[in-house]
Amino acid sequence: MHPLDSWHKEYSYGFREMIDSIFILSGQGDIIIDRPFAQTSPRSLAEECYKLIKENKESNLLKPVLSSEQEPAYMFHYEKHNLIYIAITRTEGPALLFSKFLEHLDLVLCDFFGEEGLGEKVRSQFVYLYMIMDELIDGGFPNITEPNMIKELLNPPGPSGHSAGTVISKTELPPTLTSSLYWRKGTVLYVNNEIFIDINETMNAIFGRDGVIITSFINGEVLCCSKLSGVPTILLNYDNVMVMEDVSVHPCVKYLEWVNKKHVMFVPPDGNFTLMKYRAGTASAAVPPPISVRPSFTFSKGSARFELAIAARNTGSKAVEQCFIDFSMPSTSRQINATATQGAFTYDSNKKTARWTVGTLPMQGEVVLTGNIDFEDRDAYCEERPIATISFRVPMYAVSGLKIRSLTLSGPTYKMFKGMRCLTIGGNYEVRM
Amino acid sequence: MTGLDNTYYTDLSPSKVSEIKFLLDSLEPMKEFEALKRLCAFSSKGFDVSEFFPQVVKAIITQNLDVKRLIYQFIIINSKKQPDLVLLCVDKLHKDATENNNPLIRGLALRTLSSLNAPEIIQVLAHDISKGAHDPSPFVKKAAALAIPKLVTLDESLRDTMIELIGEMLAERSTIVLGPVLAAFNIVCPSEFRLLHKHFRNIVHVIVDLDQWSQIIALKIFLNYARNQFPSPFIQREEPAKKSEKKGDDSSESEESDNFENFLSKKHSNDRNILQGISNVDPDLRFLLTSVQTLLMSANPGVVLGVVALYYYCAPETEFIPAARAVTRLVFDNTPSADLALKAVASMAIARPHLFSAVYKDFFVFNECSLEGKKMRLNILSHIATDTNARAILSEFEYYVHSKNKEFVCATIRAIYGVAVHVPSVIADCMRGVMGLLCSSDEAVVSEAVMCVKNLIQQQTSGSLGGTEENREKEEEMPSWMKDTDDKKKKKGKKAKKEPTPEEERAESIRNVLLSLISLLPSIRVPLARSSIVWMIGTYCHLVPHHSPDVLRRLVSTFKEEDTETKLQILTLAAKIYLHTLDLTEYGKPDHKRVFSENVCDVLSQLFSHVHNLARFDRNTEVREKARFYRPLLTSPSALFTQCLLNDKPVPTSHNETDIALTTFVVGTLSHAVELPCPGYHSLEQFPQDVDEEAAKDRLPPPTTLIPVNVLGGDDTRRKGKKGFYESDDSDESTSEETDSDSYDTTSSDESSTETSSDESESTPPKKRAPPKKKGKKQESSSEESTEESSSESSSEPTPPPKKSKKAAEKEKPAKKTKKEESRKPAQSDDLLLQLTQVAFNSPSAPSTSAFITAQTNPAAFSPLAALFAEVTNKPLFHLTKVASTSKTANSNLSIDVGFTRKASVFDSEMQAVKLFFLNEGKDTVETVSLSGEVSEPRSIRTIPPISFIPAQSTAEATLAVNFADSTSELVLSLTADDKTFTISFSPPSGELLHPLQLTKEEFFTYKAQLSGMMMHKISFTLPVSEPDRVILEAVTKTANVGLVVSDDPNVILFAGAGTKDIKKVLIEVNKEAQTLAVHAEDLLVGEDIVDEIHRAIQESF
Repeated sequence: MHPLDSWHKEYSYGFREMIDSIFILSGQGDIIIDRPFAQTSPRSLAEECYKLIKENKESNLLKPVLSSEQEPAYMFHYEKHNLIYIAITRTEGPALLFSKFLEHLDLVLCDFFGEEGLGEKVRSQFVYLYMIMDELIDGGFPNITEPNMIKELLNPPGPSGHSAGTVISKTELPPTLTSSLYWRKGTVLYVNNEIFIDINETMNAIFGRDGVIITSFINGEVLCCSKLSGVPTILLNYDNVMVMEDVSVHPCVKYLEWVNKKHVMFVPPDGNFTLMKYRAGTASAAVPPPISVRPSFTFSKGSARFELAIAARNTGSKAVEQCFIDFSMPSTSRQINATATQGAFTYDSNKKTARWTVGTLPMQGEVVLTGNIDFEDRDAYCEERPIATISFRVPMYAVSGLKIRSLTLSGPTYKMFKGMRCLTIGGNYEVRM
Repeated sequence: MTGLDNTYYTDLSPSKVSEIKFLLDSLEPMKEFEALKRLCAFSSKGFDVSEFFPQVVKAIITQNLDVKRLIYQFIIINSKKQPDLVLLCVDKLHKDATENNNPLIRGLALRTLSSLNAPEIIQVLAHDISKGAHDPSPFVKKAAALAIPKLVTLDESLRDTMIELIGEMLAERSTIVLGPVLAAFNIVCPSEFRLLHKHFRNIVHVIVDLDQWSQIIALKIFLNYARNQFPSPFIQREEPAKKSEKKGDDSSESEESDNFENFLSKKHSNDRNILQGISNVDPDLRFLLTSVQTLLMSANPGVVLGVVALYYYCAPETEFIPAARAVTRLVFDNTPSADLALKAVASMAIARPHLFSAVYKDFFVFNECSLEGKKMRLNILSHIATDTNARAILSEFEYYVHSKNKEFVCATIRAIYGVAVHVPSVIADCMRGVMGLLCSSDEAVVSEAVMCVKNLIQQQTSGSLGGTEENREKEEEMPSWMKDTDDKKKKKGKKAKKEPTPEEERAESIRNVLLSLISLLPSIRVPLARSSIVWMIGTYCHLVPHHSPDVLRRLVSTFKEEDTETKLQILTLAAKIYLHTLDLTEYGKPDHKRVFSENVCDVLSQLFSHVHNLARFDRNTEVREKARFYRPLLTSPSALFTQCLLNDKPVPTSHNETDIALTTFVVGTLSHAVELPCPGYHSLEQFPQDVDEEAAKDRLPPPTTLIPVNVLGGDDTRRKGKKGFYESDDSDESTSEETDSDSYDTTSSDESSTETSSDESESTPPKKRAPPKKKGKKQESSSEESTEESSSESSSEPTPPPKKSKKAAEKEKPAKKTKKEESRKPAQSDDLLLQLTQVAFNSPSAPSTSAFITAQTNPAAFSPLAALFAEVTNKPLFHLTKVASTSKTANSNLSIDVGFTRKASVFDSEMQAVKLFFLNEGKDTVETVSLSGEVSEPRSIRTIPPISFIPAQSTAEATLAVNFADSTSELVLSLTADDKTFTISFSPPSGELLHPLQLTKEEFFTYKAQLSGMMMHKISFTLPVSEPDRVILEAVTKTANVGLVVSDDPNVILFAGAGTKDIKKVLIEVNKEAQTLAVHAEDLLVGEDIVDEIHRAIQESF
């Protein structure tokens, strides 16, 4: 027995394992909703949490679970769409449940209100928020959480927001709520039946000082937008399916079909959802990076020269767009001057960051940035090195080589329109100089 | 419109406030809604709106659901502030919860009632909960389940009643309800394991169908259950002997806490004992592990971690590998969840570094990572460093020390030390790297670096103590890094003939380090760093006899300006040097040479008394105290001082508090995340010493097949609702089966179901197995066709549905079979959700659970013999043998065992999955193991994916898919390992070429009549008195992969099996009374073989 178990005995039952309160804050720190469950929590906790998030966000010091100084409470947090979600708990519980639940909460709200301007919508339609929260959590435990089901219980606001007369709550219990197909709305009817599949791949890589790749991998996700009537069963086949590693799938996907045959068979929820996530191009099967780099960094007393040349490679004749490079410069740099063969270079001397906006990379040849750093201390050598992070997009190109071979519908007899596209973006595409 | 609603937040004028009361009293839904909206806005703003409580409660009679929902919200949020007024609404809520026709309102009302937090309502609530628990609607049941913990919080005395209710509700068959019931169980009575016994298999069976949050809870409950109920799957080694042997080994001492004793022991012994390890797992635990394995693919990281934790704490280590892989993928997001997952990885990497050391690149630090994540990655990297990857990791660290964030740099330095501890061969590289940082401009970095140097030196010197094996190993590696230093090269040139001993070399390298420290000392101002350097010079002053007195002299001159910490160390330094000047021989160190020359000694003793005087009159009491301590040195030096000051210092351990916290707390808990015990934390259960056999018996198969939730609801709407998941794509099939089963209605129910059970308990290919899920579905569809039928079916649960196993049906209607097979193909996926519990991944260790699945699907049909049969066939492997290597000359440390899983390969149902275990018996890692083989038609083979490496003394598993084509001839394969190729071969035992055949008694005797004469082999034998059935079943199933045929005569046990395509039948008849064994086989040799083997097996059982 753990020595501390004895004094915890008194807590050992009761509020264990539950979320005490959930707060949703606007990006500016105003509390939009304060919903207590197992136990009420003072609003000052949310304020404290907001303060901690704001203080540590920039410097990347934020811990996944924050401890309050006011009382023995732990705060989980998640920030997205200009909203800050905070869950408070005072007792032991599965940490990832709490943490993931906040992410899921955002997902549900996005689905319900629409992603565009979510922060503002949530604020202006807080009545919905109260009702959604009531369904989502009962007594601190996640209750009805599937986005489709929330929409089955509550009518989402129309495009122009709701007016006082709109009926929000459905009066009957939707039959699918308690079915084994719990992720899909009951009655769905579309005039045009459509399904869209997006393969989005995020390329992550670290390049060493010599421009040689140290490690790289691709985080991929298959997003699906389903607007299909009835109860369709979709069968999705990939070319090159072997590139997918470490796959995780939406609950609607039939596991065994995937495990045994590498088919993705599913009855989709209505609307947008993430069908699969995977990794590709890890150490065992690295893919050639879409952008090659050639960094150089030489320093002398009080100053340093740097050069970064980048070129598009191996993108299957697709253009590399919206390319820009963020530099994290040494904290002692005073002044930085740089010239580029293409695009503009700006330096923020407060944050010690710089950005080189390149735009679309030329299909042939490389673009080069050369620059000079002056340090505050003219007699010292620089201890720190800059890091460049390259952001880019290559539309209609999946860097892992994953392709959709076929997408077929079984069940209903209508014809469906299929839209598929892919995209590669630069995630942590890091060059050490 | 949006603008309009925004004003609710801003407009708080008194007129608006007074309007609210007016609006609430209006009894018009629109106005009430408006008022409630304002109240919501006010409470969002943090105003106390409880004064409106009476008005709001009055409005509760509304029929408008929007208003109702908001009122419920209002009541819940404000009930604490107005405890007296709460009673006003209880009556209405109670009525809504129990009498309303709409299940939605019943559920909502029960949810609200239970959230009220008013002690006065306990009785009402308790009544409503038990009523709700038996409500026809799952929605209400769900609300009732979640209300239980709330009630228990209000009134502790009701706990026992509620625990009983939970126990009752655990029998719930709708997954929608089961999830919340498990949540309630977890909160109210997490250790009432007795409640779980009965439902264990049922819940494990449906765990995949639960929603993601409930899965997390269920996994957590089962982790505790498994630890509490099952015998440890970890093999206990002879603790004391090996432990002392390993004591000096730095790399294996990362585990300290009691919780990890198991792993520590297992780490060294389990690999060798893997084959026993498999059979060591309790069958129920095995069932649990297999069932949850597919959940590793869940999109919810909490679920994945739950599975991983279960495997980590309850499964043999080799089976943990896929889980380790799955948990690694969680860490790549940039969300707080990913950081939490990373923490879990860190814990596991500390305890089982070798599982992660191959993927070290996955833990390289990106600039974007949070500092917490970066530190955790460093920690992981330092633990998983091995001889092969240490240099790559160190060169990565070399980059990190140039980082902007100094805290990260410090963490990197600590990690460098960690690497040095785990991989002694790179100590010199680490030392060089850290020495470079001593000139950093940042104080924190310098002091961290000095601490690291100090620890490294101690680490190095500790090597010269004693002569344990580890040290010798270390010594062997020393020269390789010593060559790197420039000094060394010069020395090598001079002393070309005489190799320096490792001790000398070590002393030499320490001397070099000390000299650079001495030269750096004046420039270092950080007190901690300074004092550490002084300490080092003092401790190793005998290695730098020419410099240390001078350092002391210089330090004494600045004594006044020094920090307290440094002053203390200067004093100690002086004392140590002074001790060296004394004649040491009399203090028991005979081999000690005089360090300082005669003429210096005088000066040194004066210096010491000077420092002593300075310290005596220092302002700080601590310094004065220390001076008093050293005073006797001047007057009457005693041997004790030598022991105190000049002894060998213990080597610092590499763990820090984080490591200890990470390995102490259970992975995945909040306490683990915050590294502090949170209220309500329970440490992990220890595996029981003696297992409760009764409990195992209680773990009965679930009552019947799962009834789809749709049917459970009492409301017509639900029933009329959309078709279920499985119906839509599968209606053809179920109807055809329906007809099939109708035609067999005459078959006695007992017999047919027993057959089904034995059918499934054996390793028929997954395709052919009638998946349990489908049964549920069948019931569903039939229930939709005729309500009567469904009710009669579900009410008479113990009687099995009069259905024949599909396979048997197919056999008798061959014409229909092909057609159906074709029509089935597109609909095959409906097998899925269920099958995954059986087949799972093509994982290295997906064991057979078919027996359990059977148990679940056809529980009512469980005859004692069939149960026993299921039990004895529930083994992961059969015919486990060592593979003969034909080329014995090949210097291979690899030994290979082969076992038959009696399952179809996942690649091809015609192929058998054959498991290979590669045991590396050598001392070095074997790399790139691959297997290739050519077989002639009609045989076919699918070899294993190449294994990148097998660490020394560990085992890798792989699954080979082979179609033996009914032939026992040898299978020859060529194995490549470490670029050497040799041939291995094995032949399948004839019993493994069969697959179970499902026959009725009549069929059996028909075939038997055909296979007489030459094809019959009959012998007589003697049976043991105790458990003759078990002996027979075990002997037969051990020998051959056959199925049980139900016979009416209790004295006769029948088995049937066949080769591919159901030809070459083998029929086995055991007569217990006559004590005869008869085997009828189409293939004479096979028959003979089997008779002999069974006979031998029976004899062995005595």
